Amino acid sequence: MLVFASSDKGGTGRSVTSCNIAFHLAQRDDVAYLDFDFGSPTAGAIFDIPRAERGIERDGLHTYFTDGITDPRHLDVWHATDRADLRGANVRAGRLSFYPGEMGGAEFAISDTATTRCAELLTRLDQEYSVCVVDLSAGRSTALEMVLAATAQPMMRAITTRWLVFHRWTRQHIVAAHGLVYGERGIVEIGASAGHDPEALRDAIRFVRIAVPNLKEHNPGQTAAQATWLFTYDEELRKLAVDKRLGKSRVLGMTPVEPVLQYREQLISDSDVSTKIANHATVEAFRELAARLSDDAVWEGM
Amino acid sequence: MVILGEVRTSLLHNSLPLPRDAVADLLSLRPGRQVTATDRPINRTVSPETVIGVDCAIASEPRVRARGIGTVAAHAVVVGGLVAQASARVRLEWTADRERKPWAHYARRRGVVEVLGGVTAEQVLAGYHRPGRQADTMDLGAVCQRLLTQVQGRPQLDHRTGLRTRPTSLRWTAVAREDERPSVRLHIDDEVQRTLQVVVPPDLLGEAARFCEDLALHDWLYTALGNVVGQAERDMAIGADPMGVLNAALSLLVRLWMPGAHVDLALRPLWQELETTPGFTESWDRQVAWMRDQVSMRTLSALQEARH
Repeated sequence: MLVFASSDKGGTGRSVTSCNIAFHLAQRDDVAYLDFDFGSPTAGAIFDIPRAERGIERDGLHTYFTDGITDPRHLDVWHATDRADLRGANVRAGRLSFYPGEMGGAEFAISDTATTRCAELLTRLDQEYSVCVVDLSAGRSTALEMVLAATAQPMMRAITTRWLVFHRWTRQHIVAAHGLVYGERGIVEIGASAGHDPEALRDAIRFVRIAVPNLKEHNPGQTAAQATWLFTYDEELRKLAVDKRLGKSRVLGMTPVEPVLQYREQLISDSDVSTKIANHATVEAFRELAARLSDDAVWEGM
Repeated sequence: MVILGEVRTSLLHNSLPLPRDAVADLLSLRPGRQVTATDRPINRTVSPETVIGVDCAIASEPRVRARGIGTVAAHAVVVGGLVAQASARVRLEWTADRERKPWAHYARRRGVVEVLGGVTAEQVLAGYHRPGRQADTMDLGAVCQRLLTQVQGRPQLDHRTGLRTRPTSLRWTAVAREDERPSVRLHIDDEVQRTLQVVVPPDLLGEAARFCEDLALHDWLYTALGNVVGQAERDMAIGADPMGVLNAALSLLVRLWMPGAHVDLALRPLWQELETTPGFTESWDRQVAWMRDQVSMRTLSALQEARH
């Protein structure tokens, strides 16, 4: 299965959430995480791999697409991470392989060669890993266009492909996420012109709401007026989401507000919860996202 | 005389084994050139040879400036309609030349690379076997990978994954020595990378590639089966059903195990050496028996449950 992580805006928590999803999937399956955010690779920092914090120096994904190398480098996250609590935490975990981007990499021009190489790489990795999570850069990037063209090629038709669109729970983000999927030069339109069936493509897209405040939680610092406003506005956002076709049936899940992630993008492990640094609800949300991502019933056509 | 080679092995990207005629079609990579096929004891089809011109640095240890000019010979192999291999090799010949000759000179000698510079055969062998390839030197792995990608992308395949497996890569060297018994040394570098050193009498040097391809195939099968057992145990540990992966492995991989079947008689003793240490077939059989036991025990308990 291939999973493409996209978002219209930056700072939506796309990378940190998809890293955490990959982390949970890898507890029982072999998972590859590909950093297709060519302009600013950050996943290395989230996995806490110092030597790949801002991408690696050579032979990464960028060179694979631009310079014809056949084997882009990858790192075993369990071995390369500086997080001692991740190493050996689960002796039966699957592999978690990280394919980093490169320092000083940049977006490159899309070409037939790049598209073919993309299809070849994704097909090859899908044969090896149960799940490949591909982190695309924000907005309508070359990476987005390239993977849409690649997945439309005949050799990739049989591969299960799922799309995640991350957005925060604000009016602007909802409108932007709608535009990225359904709008002009959006995923569905670009996909259709690349040869995808628009309906099938729409059915393969789910939204992930990031940092959604929990209004039911008791908050002693809040005035009655604030609480009423929040409830009313939350209801309005829900209506807007339904209008914009981002309603509940198209949502894979949501993540709560997590103070740790507001300071530092990282994997949230069980040990972060047991030391009471991170919230239990956050780990549960990531786990749920991972479970629903591989649950076929969630992805049945509408 | 020295040969450097590399073999990459992976599962053919098809849901079921490919029939022999389809395999022949799949491997007809060059128009007008025939594939070669053997059917007994198991189908093994080899694509026409391709040659790739090279003029590049050659790895050595300790590092000495050395330049290699010539052609790499490569072909693809499919065994049992199921496993795809890409195999590339060069025979090294030392020359006193200091300049490149006209290409026609090299094009005539397929699979020969002439070595320029003061590097010795020992240094080249050590350079080839050192862990981690030296940057910007001749890369037979890249030749293999390109060929493998070409085969795996062919329209004869349905591109459905029957079983998830990891490709492996085996880097080998063969050295010809007069009056010496054939010998072999296999080293498992990591989960997917192996190195192999073979010594043979000069008249058998040409057969070494076939032996290395056969060993690469069986090493891949062995690795793949080990990963299947690992996945099944992981499934069992969390209460998931391991039958899917066990069934796929039993029906696809098991019948391909035939060490030495396609190897020249004179080189079969090399297989016997490997069967003694580290031992291949005995341990393979035990893994297969474990898998069959799991399947029959689970079938039995499913039957019993159905009766109650």
